[in-house]
Amino acid sequence: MAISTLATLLVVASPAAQTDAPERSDPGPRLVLGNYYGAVAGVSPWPSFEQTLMIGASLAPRRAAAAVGYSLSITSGLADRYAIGSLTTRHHVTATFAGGRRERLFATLGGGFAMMLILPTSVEIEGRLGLTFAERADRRVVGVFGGMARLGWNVYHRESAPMPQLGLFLGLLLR
Amino acid sequence: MDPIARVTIKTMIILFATSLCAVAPAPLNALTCADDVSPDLEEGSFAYYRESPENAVLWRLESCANTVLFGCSLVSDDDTVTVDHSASTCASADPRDGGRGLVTYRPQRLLLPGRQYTLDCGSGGGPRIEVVDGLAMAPLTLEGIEARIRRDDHSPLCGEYDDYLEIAAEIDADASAFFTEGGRIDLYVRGEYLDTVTSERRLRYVWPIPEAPELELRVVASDGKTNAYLIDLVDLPRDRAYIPSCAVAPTGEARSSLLLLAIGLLARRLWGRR
Repeated sequence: MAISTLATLLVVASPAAQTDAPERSDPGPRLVLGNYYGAVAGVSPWPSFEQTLMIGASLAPRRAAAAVGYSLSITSGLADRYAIGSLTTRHHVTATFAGGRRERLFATLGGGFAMMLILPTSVEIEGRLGLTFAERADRRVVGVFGGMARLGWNVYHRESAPMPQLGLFLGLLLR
Repeated sequence: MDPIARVTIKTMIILFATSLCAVAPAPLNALTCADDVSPDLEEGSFAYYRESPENAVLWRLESCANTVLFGCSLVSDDDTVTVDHSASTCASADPRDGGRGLVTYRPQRLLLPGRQYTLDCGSGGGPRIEVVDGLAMAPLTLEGIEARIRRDDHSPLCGEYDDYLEIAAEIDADASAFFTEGGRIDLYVRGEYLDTVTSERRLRYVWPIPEAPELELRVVASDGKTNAYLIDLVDLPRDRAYIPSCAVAPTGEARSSLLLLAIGLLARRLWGRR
């Protein structure tokens, strides 16, 4: 996760990111990066801390309002209930949307699997809903915050029902 | 870089550094849950009786290989009472389990209150009990017995705990007084002795789950009177998922506070320039 933060900082510090998003003559897909930090609570007495890095490509040429990519989350704590779940990594394919009226809306939806230590244990879907914040709406780097909900089914431990988790997050979005 | 983004990035740095406090202690300290269920019976001693009634039939868990063959008596300063001992549960003692069985010592007459007796089986001093005024409580009545299979962590880190049987019942009398004076609950499977429980809490954790259609609970009062109950073990309700109920407190306080101090200094540096 140190690498993800450094990567975000490097992109943000580069000259291109410091100004408004320029008009592009070649409307190819753009790199979209999301970096979120938050707390997650599940059906357990203790919560977890979660860090997420999303690397994706925009689907639309200019505003990068929608993007699809791979997201890696590292969760540490007891929200996943099992002792080996105290360090869980999540690998999802995630769609991200940042737009709406005045470009304030932020949403993601993704799904994939989770690994507890080195064991793949659960299949999951996850969504985030929140707001962006930036000095001006057309900045390339915006802050995001909001709530997250996840439903995971631990098939490795043969659980017969999916279990929910809820959380809050704060992060950055490069679009 | 616009100011909002700059502030956001600084916040991210602080947040990421703070995350090290959460990551470091939490996984390492997630493992203390199972201590709750260690057995509370010590082999050989009467230690769990505090005060026995005058008509108590004493009992203890013993290794069947070492069960006494000679006569035993209870000896106090001014009284000696012969006891009849019986080790019928040793017939089915499982050697893999250390061959433990329940041995009872029935005094041939009432014990005198206000005295401390020592069990003497010919080899000198043995475990001691204290006798108080009064007769034994009646065996507990268990009502609304419910059994359920509960999930446990199944974690190799926690010692690979299996699913267990939870038995809950409504008890109309003072259960802790019953157990304190020497009452117990014996578990029998197919007529064979399985285990003894001396608290309601232990009844909620029966492990391993017996592989039999029925489990018999015999509530034995301190004077030997018994109430028996049968629990059907076929098609018990099961937990759908594992939900931990014990509280785990992350430690590593010292390291976290140093880290927080470092973060505080870093925060002053990042914001202090204005």
